[in-house]
Amino acid sequence: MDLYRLVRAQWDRALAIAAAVAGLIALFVGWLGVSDAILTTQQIPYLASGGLFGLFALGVGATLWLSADMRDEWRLLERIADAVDADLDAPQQSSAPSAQA
Amino acid sequence: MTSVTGSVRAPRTATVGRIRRGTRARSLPAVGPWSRRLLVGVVVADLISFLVLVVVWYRISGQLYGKETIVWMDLGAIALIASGTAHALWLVRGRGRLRAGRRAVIQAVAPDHLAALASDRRALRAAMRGSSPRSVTDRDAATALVIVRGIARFHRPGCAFVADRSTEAVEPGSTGDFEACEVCRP
Repeated sequence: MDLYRLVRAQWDRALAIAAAVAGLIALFVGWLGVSDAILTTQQIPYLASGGLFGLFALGVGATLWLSADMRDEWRLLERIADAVDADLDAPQQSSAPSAQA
Repeated sequence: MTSVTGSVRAPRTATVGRIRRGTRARSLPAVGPWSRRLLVGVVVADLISFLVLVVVWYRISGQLYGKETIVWMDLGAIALIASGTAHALWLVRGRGRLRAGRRAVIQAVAPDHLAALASDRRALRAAMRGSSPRSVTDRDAATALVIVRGIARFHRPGCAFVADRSTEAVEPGSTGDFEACEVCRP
């Protein structure tokens, strides 16, 4: 599977990785800015941009990744429910011994 | 709770159906285990938080001194907390729906499996006492796979779907058009 298909199929995980990477970059850039600033008042803008945006992006990424896991499990539950429904419906629709579903 | 292998189909189907249908919002279709209304709420909360963070950054970056920067930082922290709270609510709601779905599936499928496990445990205890009866595991080994007339899948002998049904033994290599059961996974 090429990268484009993988990203399309796993768009939520791709977004999660992108958000996490963006958050880490924002935190790193903010840290660089703060470490170069001398005055505390000069550091606050870096804290607001790098720190707050980095945490925000990391939170979005973590939520997207956990949501993708939950959605996968939900799909699996739906498949099991469909299998239960199919096996319950089959003997009442036909009593033939051959495979029908 | 109704039985998986019982002949009363409607209540059982309704039990399983709750996994998919009962967890959806009334007016909007569901997105995985979440309602679309909750999705819209979380996205709106994130957008507002993002806009507040942009405003905070814009207002702070223009000032070098003053108490106002602290006030704007507090506003940014509040936006961050609001976003985190929305995400936590999203995840907690999703976990709750998943737990309900798991419970519905287990209630639909598990009773016969639990009976088979109890039978296994009784057989194990009897074997430890020296009487060595034929256990369910022995029976599974003797008859590898079974089918039921009218069901398109083959199962293990201890599968919940074939409990209390008349089964026919088949060789593992001669399952033909039948598919493997997704519950017992033979």
